[in-house]
Amino acid sequence: MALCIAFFVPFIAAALAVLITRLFKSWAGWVLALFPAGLAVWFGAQVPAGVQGEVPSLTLPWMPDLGIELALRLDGLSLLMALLITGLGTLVVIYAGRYLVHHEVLGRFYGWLLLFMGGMLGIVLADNTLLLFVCWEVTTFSSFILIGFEHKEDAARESAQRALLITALGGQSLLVGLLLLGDVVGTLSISGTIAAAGTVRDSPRYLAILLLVLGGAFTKSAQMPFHTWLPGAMTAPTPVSAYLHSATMVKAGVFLLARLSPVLGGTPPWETILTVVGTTTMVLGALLALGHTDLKLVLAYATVSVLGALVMLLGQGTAASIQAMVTFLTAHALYKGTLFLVAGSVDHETGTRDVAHLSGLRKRMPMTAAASAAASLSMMGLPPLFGFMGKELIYEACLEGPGGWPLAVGATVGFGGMVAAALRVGVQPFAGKTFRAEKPESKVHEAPPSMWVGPALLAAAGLVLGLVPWAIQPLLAIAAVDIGGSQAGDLKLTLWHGVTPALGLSAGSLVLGGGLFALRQPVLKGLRALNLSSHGPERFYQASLSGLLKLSSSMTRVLQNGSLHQYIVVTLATFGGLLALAVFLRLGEWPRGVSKYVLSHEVVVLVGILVSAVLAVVSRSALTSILALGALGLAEALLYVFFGAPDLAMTQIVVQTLTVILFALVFSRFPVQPHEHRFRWWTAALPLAVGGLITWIILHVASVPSHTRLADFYATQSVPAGKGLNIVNVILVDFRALDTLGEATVLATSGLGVYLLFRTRSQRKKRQV
Amino acid sequence: MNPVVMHTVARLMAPVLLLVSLVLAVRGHDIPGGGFVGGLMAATAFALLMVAFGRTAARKQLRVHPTRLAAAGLLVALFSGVPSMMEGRPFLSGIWARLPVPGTDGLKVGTPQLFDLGIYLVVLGTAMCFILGMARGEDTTAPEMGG
Repeated sequence: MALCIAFFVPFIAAALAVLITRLFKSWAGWVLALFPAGLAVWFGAQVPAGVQGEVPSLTLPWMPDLGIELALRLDGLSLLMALLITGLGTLVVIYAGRYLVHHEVLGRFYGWLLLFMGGMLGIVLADNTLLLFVCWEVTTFSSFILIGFEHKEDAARESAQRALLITALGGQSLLVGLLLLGDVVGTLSISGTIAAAGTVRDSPRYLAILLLVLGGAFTKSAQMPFHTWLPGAMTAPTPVSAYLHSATMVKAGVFLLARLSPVLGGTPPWETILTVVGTTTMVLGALLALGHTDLKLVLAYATVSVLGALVMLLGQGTAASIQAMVTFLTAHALYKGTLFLVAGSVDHETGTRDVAHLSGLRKRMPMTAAASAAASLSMMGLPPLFGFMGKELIYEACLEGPGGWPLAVGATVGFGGMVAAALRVGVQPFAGKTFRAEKPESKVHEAPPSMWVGPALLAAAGLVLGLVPWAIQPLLAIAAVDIGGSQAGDLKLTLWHGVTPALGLSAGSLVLGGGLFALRQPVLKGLRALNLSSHGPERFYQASLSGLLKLSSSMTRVLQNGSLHQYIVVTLATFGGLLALAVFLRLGEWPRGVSKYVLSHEVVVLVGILVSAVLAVVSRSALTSILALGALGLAEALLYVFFGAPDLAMTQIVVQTLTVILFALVFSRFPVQPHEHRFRWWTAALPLAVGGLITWIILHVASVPSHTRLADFYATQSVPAGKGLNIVNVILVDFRALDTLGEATVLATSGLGVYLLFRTRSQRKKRQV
Repeated sequence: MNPVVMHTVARLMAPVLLLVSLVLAVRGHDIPGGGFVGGLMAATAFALLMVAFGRTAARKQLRVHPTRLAAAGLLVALFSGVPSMMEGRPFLSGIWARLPVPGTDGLKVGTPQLFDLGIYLVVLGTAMCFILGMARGEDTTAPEMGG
């Protein structure tokens, strides 16, 4: 049960965010941080039991008929991720309280951030593929809002749109993949799927499932060629970048791959695709990171590189590479979280994020500088920091695994780029002498405590874990077991491995990185000349976006050209055509058994309907047409009365009255042009044909005896079950109340749409006047 | 038309129509009527006011913004489904009770009636969105009937 509460806490916090921000004002960050902090403590308390092999789980029915359950499970992998999410979340919430203190909608910002946290936590706790998917889309949507949070800026909107288009497209692919997967194993439970892993690998649909799931994971984790959204996402406020783009959201894809690794992994396609894509992303990300001087952009491309490395390790799938993956994932979350927050503080204090303008900040911002130094040393993989262990394990895994030396060389190049990037963002702004920025030097101060406490804690964690790795070793071991099976549990974290090839590669990457940093001016120039980021996927994204817009505008030109005449022709032709297809396929013969007796008063009403219909069409006066339409509707209402449907009759009369009023309003604004009255034969033929078709169908319907079990059920159950004598109303408000609620929602939404449409129209008019 | 006649008719008829709309909505569970037609009837009353006195006057008489009416209606309908969940029955199951009213054998009340009231508000709000939206700017330009 505690697990269920933990699942809902972020959502509750999100709902309360606006209220709490209003109540506590500038203290809101500290108050709201209590929610994730409490969660972090709780998850931390679960670690000893988890190491003993306990896996708390909980299943609540949600949509039992569809096999969708609120199933939660806290295994080692979930526990590791949950601790990262809530721990980093706490620090980011505190940080944001100061960073965005003067923001007008800070409360709303917190709401979205906590909602995002809830989605992320849901992804790692879910034990049902569709629950996982729902949470997955929660993160997609809330990150869209967070990236575009400064929505008045074009760049923010453009990046948010790009992130949404790419990740949501991947989400659709993932949904199909998960449904196929569920179909193959016959359950939506993730633990059940893992137990039935053999069925999946032998299934002929394996490749399709794999590709679809990879589509989701690769877009979310910004793998080549989908990486283009991540750097754009840096338009988000810095706390968001730190949280979403270092530690959590982008890792959702990696997590998904890790989670499904026992099911989908270990096959040639898995190994090939993940290794190739991961390695490419790693090297390319590192190269792109060097081509920028904006602190956040450099960090973003370095993140792309790390994500590539993690995917590559999962692709290798050996025990050593899984161990390396969980270690490096943790190390990266710690140092990248720090560096993003540091970048935010630097930006906040100096007013610039361009590394070319920053130097010598260590005297002005000592706490931030210390945190930054520790984190960047971890990023470079230097002992005794935790990043060093992650990197050593990666080299060892590459050398031992199927990838061998070529992969190890690739990793060296990638890490070389990362070393240069770390020197760039973590050291350069703080080293050196003079400070050159827009603000005069004297105005630059240390960031306030709530803004350095987070980076300092994260950086300290990286240092402490490096010195006492046994503190986290058991947790990492159980997480590795959940990905790679029991042989992956034999994890040993030590600082000194002896003189091994891995140590040599480490030294190689440091030399390479140092060289790249020393030669940064020519490297930067060269990379800018190559303009890597605007070729390939970037080009493709722009082309497909503009293609989509062109397609839709050409469709609009054809279908919605502003002529009412055209709209009616298109609507009737589509409707009639589809009906005709259905009718002639299924009801080929002439209807039989229709009553031959027509009563005289029915004939009178019928003639009335016909006459008013013809009058409405041929009249040259709009007023006459409207009145004729009204008469037609009233005559129809009479027909309902004859056939014993007073509810319908009444509704028809009122609707008719309102329609006449609306038509009168509309026609008074758009006077009918005389030339529109030209007679065209097909203008008459089309409605006549559609009308005839419907008559034909109704005759068929009338010739079929209508005593169905459903009608009997409603007739007999209306009083005992629905407690009402009016069957129509009982059906609407009781038996099918959910349908009615849905329809009411549609109605209200359309009302809102119409209202906004007219409001914008009249406002535009006002502006012009 | 003589505006005096129009004004008098509207002033007399609008309250009557509103009353009828409420009657329709309340009795709907047992005899013809219901929230949908009731809401439409109420919208007709305001439409009549609008034709007679203009858009601004009708909007003033409505008091609440039409989009808020629709939203409130949705909330009421949604809320009417909650009590049954507390009894462990599915969302939107009807709960009925009889209020002792002297002179009768009890007044029937239930959550489906609340639901119907929600529908009434949604329909009224939406219809007023349409009607008031269409009539926007209508007060300044004289209607031109005919082609």
